Amino acid sequence: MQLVETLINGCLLGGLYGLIGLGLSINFGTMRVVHLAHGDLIVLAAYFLVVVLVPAGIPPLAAAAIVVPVMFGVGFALQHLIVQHSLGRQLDRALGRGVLPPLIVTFGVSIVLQNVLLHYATADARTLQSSLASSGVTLGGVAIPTVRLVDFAVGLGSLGLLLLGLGRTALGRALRATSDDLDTARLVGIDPRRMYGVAAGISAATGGVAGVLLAATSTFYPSTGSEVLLVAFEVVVVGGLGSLVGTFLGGLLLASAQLLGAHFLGPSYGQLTAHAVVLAILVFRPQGLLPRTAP
Amino acid sequence: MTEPLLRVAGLVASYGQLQAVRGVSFEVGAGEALAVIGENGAGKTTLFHSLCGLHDAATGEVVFGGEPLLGAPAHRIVRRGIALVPEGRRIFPSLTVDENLRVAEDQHRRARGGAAPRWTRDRVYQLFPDLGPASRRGGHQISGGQQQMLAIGRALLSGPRLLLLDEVSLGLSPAVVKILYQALARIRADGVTLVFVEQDVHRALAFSDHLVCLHKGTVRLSGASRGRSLDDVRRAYFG
Amino acid sequence: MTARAAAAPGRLRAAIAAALVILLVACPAWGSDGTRATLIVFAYHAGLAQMWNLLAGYAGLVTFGQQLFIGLGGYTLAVGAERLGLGVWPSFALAAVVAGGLAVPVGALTFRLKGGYFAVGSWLVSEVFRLAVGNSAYLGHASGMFIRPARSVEPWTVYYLAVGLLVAMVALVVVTLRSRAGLALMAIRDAEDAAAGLGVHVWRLKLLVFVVSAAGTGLVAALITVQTPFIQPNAAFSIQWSAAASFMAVVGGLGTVEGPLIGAAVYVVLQDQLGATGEVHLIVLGAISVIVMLVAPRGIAGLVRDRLGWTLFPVARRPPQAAAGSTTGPRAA
Repeated sequence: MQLVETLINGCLLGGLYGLIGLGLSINFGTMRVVHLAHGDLIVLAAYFLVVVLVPAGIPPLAAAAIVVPVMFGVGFALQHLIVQHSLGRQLDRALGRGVLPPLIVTFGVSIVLQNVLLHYATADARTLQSSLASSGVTLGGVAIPTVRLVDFAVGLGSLGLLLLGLGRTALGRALRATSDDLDTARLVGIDPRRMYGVAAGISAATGGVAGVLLAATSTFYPSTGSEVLLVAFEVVVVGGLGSLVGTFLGGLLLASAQLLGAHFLGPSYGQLTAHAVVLAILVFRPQGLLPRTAP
Repeated sequence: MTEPLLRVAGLVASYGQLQAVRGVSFEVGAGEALAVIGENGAGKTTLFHSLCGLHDAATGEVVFGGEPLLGAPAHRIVRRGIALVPEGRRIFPSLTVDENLRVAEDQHRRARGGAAPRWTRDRVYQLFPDLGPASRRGGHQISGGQQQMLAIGRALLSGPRLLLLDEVSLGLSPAVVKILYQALARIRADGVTLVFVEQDVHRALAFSDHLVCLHKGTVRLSGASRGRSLDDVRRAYFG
Repeated sequence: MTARAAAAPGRLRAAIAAALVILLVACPAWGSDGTRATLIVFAYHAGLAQMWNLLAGYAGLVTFGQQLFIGLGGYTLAVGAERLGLGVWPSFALAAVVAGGLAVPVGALTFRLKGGYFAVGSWLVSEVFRLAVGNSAYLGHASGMFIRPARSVEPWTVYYLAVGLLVAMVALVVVTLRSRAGLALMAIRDAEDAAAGLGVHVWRLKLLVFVVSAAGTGLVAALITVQTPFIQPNAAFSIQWSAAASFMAVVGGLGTVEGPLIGAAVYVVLQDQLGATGEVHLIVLGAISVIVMLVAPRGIAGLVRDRLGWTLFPVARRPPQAAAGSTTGPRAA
């Protein structure tokens, strides 16, 4: 029973983990950039909610609705003003064939973000105070904290929205085309800079939702961004590069591994177990759970 | 003499130190069909990429519809009326056949505002009936011939005045090639100017008004196609 | 074609290098304890940056997991000296062996990831070790270990070790890059697929560089640990090491031999001025990284090279000038 309960809780928490990874996946899919500040953007959203919006008296739900478009703007601006300039078309030899500049730039942004948060919001632990945190339900003998249900529902809902948007809208088609083949996308009239800006904005917006959930689910510090980035990375690698559904499933797997490890091996072994699962997947199935079938 | 639709003068395109196109000049009049003939490595693809804005390091003079072209970004060049059917077709693998068409259609709609398009998806499916039954299949799941049809259809949906085709018949069966050239004839009748690469010299001579023979980045022979023979072309390379 | 340096500048460079070495060796004569401390800090930072640069600037491997080898090297020294009674100097050598040895499976695993995923994957592996070490009673849990035998090490011994290590590393890098292996390395960096097509054993060479870099980092870590002389998992396996290394290599100049030295100097000066801990220091470092990468991606050494044509350690090769109009080369259709 304990196993079942832990597993279910893991899957539910996985909704948040999957959501965390979605943004990284979108960024990478479109721009081939591993955005090292992605975790910090999520934490930024959490701080914005808890330190700015909620104390201003805005009810949490309305505050969440504000966070998302604001984060879209942050992601878009960051892309246009900073990251875009590191995506040169010239392959500069000493710069690791184009891989290095965006990595260094996004890493630098990450460091700046973390320390700016540290400076203005201090190192105190933060969380979203709400009735959600303490309530729970019991379904079929299994105890489930309400917030975990919300994590899953929102995570799954976000995935659904993204898939719908990508599959049914003109923008979605253009994004998918850009991810497939940038040069040919340009040949059908797509403006790459605009695409990158929008992709970065969408990625940051999903990060905004993830940030709200993060605030509701656990405590966080300015340094939490690094942990979140690692979660996003693991989730994407486990799920398979290029697949949003895979990323989400990766989230479920990872969170379950973490909770199972903590439950059976001890509280300090949760993360280790999750990491071990990721490394095992790298060894035995490096392409991930649901790799993209297209070349 | 009316102004040609496309005028290229002294085009040079390099990859670092290596010049792939070394001073190419030619003209294409509106409504004409120009065949580009040349072996692998002659500079044909680089030439096309330079015209479409995909090649950064191109210099020289290129005038399209009276306006200079070099230096404009690729997506703007598409809006000005040049579309490329790339070598290898480059179908978007994550998109279905229909979505491949829609992507171009969406962008063209954004560009032209409210004006009616010359080419619609329906017209493309009429032009290539083989595409209809496959419309929901993944872009990479159709045959080479269907991919070429799709690539042409996709380019048409950008509403071009000038259509560039890099390797029309390469790797395709004669039956498919026949269908393609019938379609190209209809496209031409619609008023679209064509510049196409064709390895089959007979075909190239039969379908085009003028021809340009490229060899190692320079023009070896150019002029009217009528009255031209295989021997003339051969002599341009070895004579 | 080997590196071409006209005779006169070559002799000037050798003279400068010799003068610097003499100055460093004679430090007890002219330097204070403070100078010594600063030079030690500079030396191990420069060593760290050289090793990061070896990976990123020459092998095209950007990593944010260099701290793995810092932790491994440091803990090997700690365990060797404190737990196993091996003595400080044997433990030093052991640190390089352990770090280099573990680099083989780690590299084999992480090389399955490309680009940015390799960078974060390396970080992940480091995290695994951090957590595992933190869970170990033998290694002192999160509070770490104190290395008693290291207390008896003379400060000037540490100094000479640091300087010697740095000089050896620079020499190793220069010699390697001028060798055939170095040529192959730069071929990989510039055009991996083409290099593979020419018969270069890309994977093997990358792994070799990875191992060398790890061993070097392990030695640097042992040095740092000897000086401290205690070690804690969260500090030893901290991402800050990779952050510092990447900053130094990028600001100094990637893909050059003098770049990491310049970068380390900048880093140490900044640390001094802004306070080693504290968020303002890190904000400035982060901002400078971003600005340099966008505005002067070749770093200070690159700027000096481009504007003034100076190179302290020339390792670049110039291909014979292509005959005008020649068209031999890759896909040119």
